Amino acid sequence: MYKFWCVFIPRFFLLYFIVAIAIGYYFYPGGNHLDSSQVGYDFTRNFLSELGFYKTLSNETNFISSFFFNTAMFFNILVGIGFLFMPHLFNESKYAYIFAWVGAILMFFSCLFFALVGLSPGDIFFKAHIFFVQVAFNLVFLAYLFICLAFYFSQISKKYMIGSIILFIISIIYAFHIGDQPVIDAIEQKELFQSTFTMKDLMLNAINQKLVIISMNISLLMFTYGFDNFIKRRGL
Amino acid sequence: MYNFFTVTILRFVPIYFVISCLVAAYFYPGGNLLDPQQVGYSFNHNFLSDLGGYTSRSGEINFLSQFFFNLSMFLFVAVGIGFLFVPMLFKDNKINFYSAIIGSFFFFIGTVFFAGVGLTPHDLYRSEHIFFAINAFRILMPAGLIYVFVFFRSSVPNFYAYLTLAFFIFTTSYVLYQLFGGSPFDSIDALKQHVTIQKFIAFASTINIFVLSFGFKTRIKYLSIA
Repeated sequence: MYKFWCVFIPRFFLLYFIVAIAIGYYFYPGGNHLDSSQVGYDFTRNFLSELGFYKTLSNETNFISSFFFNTAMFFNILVGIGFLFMPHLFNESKYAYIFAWVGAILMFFSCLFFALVGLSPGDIFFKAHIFFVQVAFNLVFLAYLFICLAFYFSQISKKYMIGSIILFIISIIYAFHIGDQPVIDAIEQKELFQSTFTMKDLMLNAINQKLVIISMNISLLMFTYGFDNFIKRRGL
Repeated sequence: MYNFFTVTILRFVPIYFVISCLVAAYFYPGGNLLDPQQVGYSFNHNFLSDLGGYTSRSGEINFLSQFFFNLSMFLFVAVGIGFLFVPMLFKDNKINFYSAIIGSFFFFIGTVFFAGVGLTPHDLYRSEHIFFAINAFRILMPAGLIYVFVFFRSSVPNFYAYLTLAFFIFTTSYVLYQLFGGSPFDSIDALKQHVTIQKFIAFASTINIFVLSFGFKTRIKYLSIA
């Protein structure tokens, strides 16, 4: 049970997420926030959320790409449920157990909001999409912090925290970078968006977003190895 | 592992399918094959596939409805994968084992076709959608028949064999109805008839898969594997 929810489910999610992004990338028709004539998906010019758009910024039908991206986001619910089983692994130490519970609850809600990102494509539910993205990211950083503390106070190797430490460094840089940037709907306020952002800004944001996502996923993967170690050690 | 693939998955996917259809029906904007003015989803005027349309029959954005419906169809792949584990539950008898392999192969292909239905909304990929929808049921016919044979020969209670036999009869009848039952475009009554029969067969298949998981559970206990 613990192995299924704390190890198998997050790893299945990561695998599905990578495959879904690859399929979404392949089928994405084209367009980005500043250039609607772009052909296909460009990792340096498109945000991941664009894979989930109902219609692309080139105004084309985006069914296959959005289906795989949005289902991958929706599967975050499973990861969130899985994390509710995690605190039991840390019950050897009082502090680790408390931090694990705080981390698990934050992670559950974060995953719920990530799932809602998949249910609110940015082109048709812009405000809801931005709200869910912001809350999800804020919660996940806090959750990872508490899970790191749980690992720190547990009797297990601290190496499983490496992924999270990388994530925190990248996230802080990213937060400083986007902190003073305005939130503009690239579809409804197209002209304002194009006069506010240059292609260089767009590329920097798109690349940074992907770095944060990659480090989040590495961090999640490393946690699963930590959980697996606990489960084996304690024969759960 | 066997418990997960042949019991848990076979229970989870049908439950998720039913819930998804209800959620999708709630979010469906409106319109049917003959009347684009209809408001919302009507269980006796709309096909299940209408829920998966990229736009509704009334021409409106149908994002939430198609997301839930198409995902639930796509998840039938997991049922197909689950069926690939089922033959191992009948490994104590050679004939049952090899028959189950053939039956599971057909089940797997049939469920892949169901997933294909979810990946081809009727308004974007019409010919592919019809191909997957029609042939999924045709492929499930031999699958059902072979499993009737396996269940009658094994220690699984005969209830499961009779249930699968009923499923086989329903599926065959539906395939014949698709071939000779006329067109839903003919009249509103013809549409209602097609729609009602489609729902009956779809939910009968779903119930069959769900109940079979209990039969497979008895085999897991019998063979003492998990």
